[in-house]
This record gives sequence, structure tokens and C-alpha cells, in this order.
Amino acid sequence: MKHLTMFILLLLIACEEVLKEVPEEVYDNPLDIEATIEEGIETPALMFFPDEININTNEIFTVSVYALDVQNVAGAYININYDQDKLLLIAINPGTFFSDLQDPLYFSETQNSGKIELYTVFFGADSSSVSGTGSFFSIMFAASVSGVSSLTYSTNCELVDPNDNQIEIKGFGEGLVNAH
Amino acid sequence: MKRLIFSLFVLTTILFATVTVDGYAYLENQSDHSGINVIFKSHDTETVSDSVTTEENGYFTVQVETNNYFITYEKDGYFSEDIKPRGTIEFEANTTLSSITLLKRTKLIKFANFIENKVVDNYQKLNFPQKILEKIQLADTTSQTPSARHHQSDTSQPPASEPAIRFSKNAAPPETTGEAGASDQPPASNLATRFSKNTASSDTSDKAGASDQPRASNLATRFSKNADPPETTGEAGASDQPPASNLATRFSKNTVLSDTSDKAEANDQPDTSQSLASESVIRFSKNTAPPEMTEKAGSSDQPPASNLATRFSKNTVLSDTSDKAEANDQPLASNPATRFSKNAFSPGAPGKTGPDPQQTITTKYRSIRKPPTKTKMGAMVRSLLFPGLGQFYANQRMWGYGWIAAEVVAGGLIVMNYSNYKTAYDDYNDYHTSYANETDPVLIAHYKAQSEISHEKIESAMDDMKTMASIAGVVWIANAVHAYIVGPTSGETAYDEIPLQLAYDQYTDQFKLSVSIPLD
Repeated sequence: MKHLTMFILLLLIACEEVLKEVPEEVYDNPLDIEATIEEGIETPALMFFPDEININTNEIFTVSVYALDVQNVAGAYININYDQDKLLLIAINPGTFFSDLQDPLYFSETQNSGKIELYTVFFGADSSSVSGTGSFFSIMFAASVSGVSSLTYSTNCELVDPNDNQIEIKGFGEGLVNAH
Repeated sequence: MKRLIFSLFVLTTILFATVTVDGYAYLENQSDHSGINVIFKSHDTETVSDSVTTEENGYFTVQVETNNYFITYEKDGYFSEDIKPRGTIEFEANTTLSSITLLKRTKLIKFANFIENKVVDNYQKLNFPQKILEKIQLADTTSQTPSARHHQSDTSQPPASEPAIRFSKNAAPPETTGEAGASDQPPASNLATRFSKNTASSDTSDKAGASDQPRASNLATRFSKNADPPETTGEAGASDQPPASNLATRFSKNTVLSDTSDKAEANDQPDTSQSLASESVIRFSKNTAPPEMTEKAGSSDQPPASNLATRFSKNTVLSDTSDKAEANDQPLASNPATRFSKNAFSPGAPGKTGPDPQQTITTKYRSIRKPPTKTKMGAMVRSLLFPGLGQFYANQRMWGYGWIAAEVVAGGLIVMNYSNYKTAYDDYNDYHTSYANETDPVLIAHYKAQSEISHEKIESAMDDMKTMASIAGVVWIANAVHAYIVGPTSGETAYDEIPLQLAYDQYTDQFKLSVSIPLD
């Protein structure tokens, strides 16, 4: 009797599950080149990771600045815009893309105007440039008030190779911060 | 020489004398009782010696040689009556046989209902003979009209003819006086008594001569096994209640009946009510006076009390059931409605003018509780509730098990596919979470691929689950439809299909079984 009851229960649950739809396939990782291309962002590109952040007010979160599918990069200039009324810049740390035997050289300018200007240069032991996907910086913010704000790249960002030749950046990602 | 011739004459007369045997045989619930064959078979050779056919009123008469006979009553469509098993009849004088009613074969009992009510069990539990006795008493008091009794006023018929009866030559058969014939009530010679083996005779007498009440009341007494003998001394002369001389008495085995003293010396009532019943026969011996009605009974409007269940031994003077009831307006002894079990004598009081249909009691056994009516809709609803239930309801057990098995298989496949679905769904969630949180492009690609595979599994399991659910649904509906098809016809019960029927024969105290097969 117990087995029969279990069987019928499972049957009912199965029927309930049948009524559900198969979960939609969503591949939205900003560092997934295929997904990015499907979204209309061509590479090489500058992306935020994660590109969508849901936090509580006054909560600190970290967002990374990524170069997606770049070739022979030796230096970069990154210009980021954020809503200074909603987000508070806490800290800026170097990423791992230019890390090698020694830490990369980098500096930033923040004028409390909602803009962050970042500079970095690669000093490799065996090579003078890097390729692929990697983070230049990780930036810490705190949501000062609730609401949705965005992180965007300025179009004047530059990527250069070891010979100081500019690498065309074809796509710029965007980050969303939803503070509750 | 004269003595020799006389002796030879007497011897020849004795050896080759013929006697007249008559009686009545009736057909149950019929007004025309003609056509019943009464067959006399010789006890010695078992060949048919004589036969006679009844007239319209059931009367028959035949001349037979003095001999021992088996007698059989036969007619197509009726159960034959044969008194052979209980002995022979030796006719040595003109004899009137007790009337017999043949049971119609169509008066039957639904066998299934009979079984359902467990009549056989009840037969033993409910003291069946006593029940029947009461029933017959009721029938006799309510159904028999005075005229019907009047038709049975031929009290010359000996009581209890079914047991072996020996009529000796020159023995006068029981008869009633002409005065009795003028009575509106039948004379009370119809005493039915059953005496079993080893039963001592009862000597019932009464002293009701001075009583204003009938002397012979209808006392239906049943003596159980080894019961103390009842003493029915008839010293109730001063009593307003009738003495118990009209006994419908059933004596069981080893019962010693009372030898009730007859204090009739001072009574005009003869001591003919004394009867010795040591065998289950009634024997009229030579020079035995049959019970008769006195002339004094004729002035009574009610029958005198001669309805004794009596066994007459050789040289026993049969009871002269006359009474001094001239001034008595009450019945002295009405015909007791008496039903006896084995070897019982039917209380028939055959008259020569009409039948006594009440002598035959056929008990019908019918179901009190109606069998539950099964319907096709009932079967379908049950199968809709759960596969196979309707088939079980319709007594299609194999189909029921089959449908349950089919549904269990379909359900099992659904559950199996659900398990696959659930596994793939969980994998998809895990891989997708890893994909979304991964920053390494290689691992991103790996998790993405795994997520896609898991998603395909989800879709496959979902499709299979839907397919099996559809199959299970189809099976469920098909099972319901099948239950409706094989379901019982509305109003039909299994009992209607049983062609066996059973009838109860009160004379033989046996059940008779018949099987009817419609040929159309």
C-alpha cells in the first residue's frame, strides 16, 4: 500500500512537471565570445564581469574590467563612467591579465566626477604582450542608494601592442547595478 | 364333505377375493383433476397389477385382488407420488385411500435465491417441521372454506395412508355416518399423526362429554427426542378448554408416548381414541371397526373430534369419535392444519365432491435481499477512477488485472522518464551556474557544452514523459470504454442466468431439483 501510494504520488508529481516548460537555454556570460557575438558585440571588446549585479544598498561589490579576445596587447587606457550619485568608488586593484613575474604598472585618476581613468602596461619576462581574454582591473563599489545604475566604457579607450600600435576595440560591454 | 366344500369355498373366497379401492388424487391448483394415473404394483412381483385414471373431480375406484401393493400417482407435468418407500398396502377389504395432491413441476423455486438464503441451513436451524406445521395450520384455518371441508366429509378414508397400510378383509373402512354428511363441517377423521420409530402409542382420550367446548382440540404437539411422554388425560370435562385429543403429533425417535388413561367409563365417548402406534403404519385388521361418526354428531354444526393421528393395530377398534356434542355449537375437532415431516400423513379429508387444494403446501424460497444491480455506467465510472476497477466490478478479473498492468507499465515509464528529466534538469542548472560564473574561456566553453547536453536531455525526457503520459491516458480511457463494453447489462443479475430451480415436496419432505434449458 505504501509503495502504491508512493507510485501514485510520483505519478502526480511527474504530471505536474510535465505541465512545466523546459527551461529556456540562456547563455549570457559576458566572457563567452559566442554569446557576446550573438548579442551584437564583436571582439576584441572591453567587458564588465559580471555585467549584471544585484545587491543591497550600502553593500560592496566588485566588478572586473575585461579585455575579450584581444591579440598582442601590451598597454591599455580604460575610461569608465559610473553614476556617482548611486555608487561610491571604494578601491581599484590590478587584474591578472598583465600579471607575470612582476605586477603590472598601473595608475588611475578619479575626480569624483563619475569617471575613472585607468592606465596599465605589461612587463613580461618572456614576452612583451598578451593575448586572449583577461581582466585589467577589479574595481570595488558600494551602492549608496537604491536604484539601477550602469557602468559604461568611453569610446576613447585604447589598446596598444608592444610597438604602441593601437588595437581596434570593436565592442564595449555594459554593466548594470541594481541596488535594492 | 360339506365341511370340506365349505372350507374350500371359504379358502377360495379368501384367496381370490377382490376388494374395491377408491380415493382421490388432485392436481395442484387445478379444478380438473382428471388424468392422474394411479398404478398398483404387486409387492411380490413388482409388476403393474392394476391402474386407474382419476375423474374430473379426482375420484378413482378400482377393483383389485387382496394383495400387497405399491401405489404410484403419476401425471405429466407433475411430480409423481409414490408411497412405495414407506411400505406396501395390503388390501383385504374395500378401502378408500387418502387423497393426494400432485405438485406441479412449474411451481419451482429459484435455485440461486434459495442458495443465497441458505435455506438448507435455515431448514435445520429454524426447526423447520414446526415452521411448516404452523404454516399449514394457518392455511387450514384461513384458506379452507367450510364447503371445502364439506367436500372432504368422506371420513371413511383411513388416516395416514402414506405409511404402509394394511387393510384386512372384511374390515370396514373408516366412514362417516350420513348425519355427518349433513354437517357443514367435515367430520373429524382427518387426524394426521406421524409416529416415528420406536414410538409407543398414545392413548388419548377425553372426557369432554360434559364439556361445552370441543373435546378434541387442534393440538399440534411435537415431541422431541427422548421426551417424556405427554399425558393427555382427558379429564377436562369441566374445563372450558378443549382437551387435547386432536393431536397433530409428531413423535420423534425413541419417544414413548403416553398411554393416557381413558377415563371414559362414565363418558359416552368410546375409548376408540386409544391408539397404539408402535410402527409407522396404520393397519386395519380383520374385524376392525373403522372410525366412524355417530349419528349424534350430525346435529352439530361443527365437525366432531375424530381428527386423531391414529395408528390402529390389529384387532383394535378404531376410534368412534362420536361425541355428545348435540348441544355444542363449537367444533369438536376441526381438521387440524397439520404438516408432518417424513412419513407424515397429509391432513387431507377427501370428499367425493371436490378437491382440497390446501393439502399441498409448496414452500417457495425467494431472496429477501435483492442482488445488487450492476450497470455499465457503474463499471465505466469505476474504471475512470482507477484502471481495472470496472472490469473487476463486471467480474472480468483477467481484464482488470490486464488494464492495471498496462497502466502500471505506462505509469512506470512516466516515472522513469521523470527521473531522467529531473537528473538532466539538475545537471543543467549546475552547469549553467558554473558557466555563468566562470571567467576562464575554456571552462566557459566546457560548461556551456555540458549545459547544452543537459538541456537536450531535459527535452528528451520531457518528450518521453509526454508520450508516456499520452499513452497512459489513452490506456485509461480505453480501459473505461472497455469496462463499459464488458459491463453488465442494466438490471441483469447473475441469478437470472441460473436455470436451476428447486421445489419442496411436503409429502416426501424432500427438495426436488429441476433444470430448465430454453431451446428458443
